[in-house]
Amino acid sequence: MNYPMLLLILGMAAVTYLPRALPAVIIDRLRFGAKVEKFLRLIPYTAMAALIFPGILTVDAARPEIGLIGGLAAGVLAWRRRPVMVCVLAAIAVDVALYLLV
Amino acid sequence: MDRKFMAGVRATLPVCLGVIPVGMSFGLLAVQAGMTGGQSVLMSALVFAGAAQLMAVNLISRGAAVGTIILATFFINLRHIVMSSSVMTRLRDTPLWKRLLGAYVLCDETFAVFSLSEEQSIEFLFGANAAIYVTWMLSNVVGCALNQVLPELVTKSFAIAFYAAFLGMLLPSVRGRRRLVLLAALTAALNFLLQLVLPASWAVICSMILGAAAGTFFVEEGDLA
Repeated sequence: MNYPMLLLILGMAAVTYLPRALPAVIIDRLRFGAKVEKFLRLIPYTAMAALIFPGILTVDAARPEIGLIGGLAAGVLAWRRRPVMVCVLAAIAVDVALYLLV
Repeated sequence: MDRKFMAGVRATLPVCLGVIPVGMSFGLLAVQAGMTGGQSVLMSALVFAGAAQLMAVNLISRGAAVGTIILATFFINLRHIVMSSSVMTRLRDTPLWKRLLGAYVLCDETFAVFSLSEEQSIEFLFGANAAIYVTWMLSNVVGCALNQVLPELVTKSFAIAFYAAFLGMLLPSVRGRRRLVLLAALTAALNFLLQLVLPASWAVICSMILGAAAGTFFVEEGDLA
């Protein structure tokens, strides 16, 4: 395969480290107000919500129900505060069953 | 071993369990997309960003150009700037080189663990980072190997793991806090609408920022305890 994989990996590493490292360097010059602080604390919730939906519908682009039903299984367990691993394994099991049966 | 470091390791173990299937999926899908096992492990070691790595594998298999994948990686990982800012404000007294090292492995999971813990020190962050880094690398290696063993039916089903892990983290943390439930639903809906007009990686970044901005107006301090 002729894909320039090393170039890709190094490029991805550089652009990924930049936003992680920048605040570490300039934090001495950064002071956040209460509003900005709250904004920063809300980001994990909104980031996870945005990463889940609607991406979950394209787990199998040809069959949206694979993501939907697998996600539903994980969602119900997660809502009942089951461990993350249980949610993940259940979702995989449900999708295996869906591929087998339907 | 330092007590705070070990506290970081311990606090991160539950989310490490959630990372295992995602790391295995990445190893699995990377090999299916034509990467060697070594290349996938190198990517995990240097990039260390699950969502971006899975997206890259997806784009490679569709024959996307290197520049496109790097640009998409930049945007999907841009959210770390807000997480890192939040973490670094609690680590102002830490030497720069330690902060830079702590920032290297900072991800959604370690950010969440660090933010929710009472022990917000660099040693704790190092412990959290070490736990998740080792887990990520090992599960990646296992994933590469599984290609030889598991039937395609099972490997294909691993694509759901990423979403199931995020559901497993998000839902318990918003349950019983209806303003956070509303915020998550609002952000997901916004992302759905934005993806009709923007590339997916841009839509995710815009909706997480706009959602959090909107949340500052109605989420109360007590919801974030």
